[in-house]
Amino acid sequence: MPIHVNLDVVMAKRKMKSVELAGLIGITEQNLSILKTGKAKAIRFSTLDAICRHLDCRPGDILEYREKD
Amino acid sequence: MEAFMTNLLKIKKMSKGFYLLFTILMAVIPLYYILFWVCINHLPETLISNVAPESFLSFPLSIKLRLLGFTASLLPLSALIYGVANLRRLFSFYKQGTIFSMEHARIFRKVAKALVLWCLFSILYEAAQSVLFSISNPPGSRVISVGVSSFEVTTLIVAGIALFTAWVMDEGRILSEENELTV
Repeated sequence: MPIHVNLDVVMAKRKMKSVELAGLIGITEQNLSILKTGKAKAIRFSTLDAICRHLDCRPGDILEYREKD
Repeated sequence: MEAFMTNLLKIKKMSKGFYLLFTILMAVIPLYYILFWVCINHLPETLISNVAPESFLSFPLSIKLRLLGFTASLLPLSALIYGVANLRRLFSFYKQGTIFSMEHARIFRKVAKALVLWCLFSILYEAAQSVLFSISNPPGSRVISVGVSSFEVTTLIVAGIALFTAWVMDEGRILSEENELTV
């Protein structure tokens, strides 16, 4: 899929741990891992909203469109 | 989410009952077939005469004929047990709270297959029964009765519905997997 999730990069910049973020946005660490590793098929607006709020970023910082090689 | 959990609990609870029912049936059905052939000489004719006209039935049956009859009954019995075993397995999944999986669709396909086999084997079994029940008659009074009744047609329709359900279940599984990967 040409959509890449850069959540781990943003988290590293904000020095936020998975367990902490998962707790703040109200999802399980396992689901956050699915999102971070790019295995997720969809993301809810509510999840995206919570991530952006707690990481102080925009959706474009987390989701990136990359052309297929 | 709470409504889903409540429904899931209800499904789990009801499935336990069905699982138990199919477990009992797996023991009772073979027992019924065995008892039918063991006690056939003592059963009222109304219970056994649906395969041939009463005037053609010759009782009592010898042990050899009863053994042959029971051997013939193993055909529909095996199809029936195969179907019941798969239904039992299906409810064991529901009992655990697994509603959609690849295995569910496979089980529905197996149940459909069991119903079709049961229907075909029942026709053969009834033909065999008519022969066994009249084989002791003098030549000219022996019959072989082969027929398709509304029961067989209904069974085939149910098999078609089970096959269709398998397809729907597979679509449900895809949706369920997608839902699981939605964060």
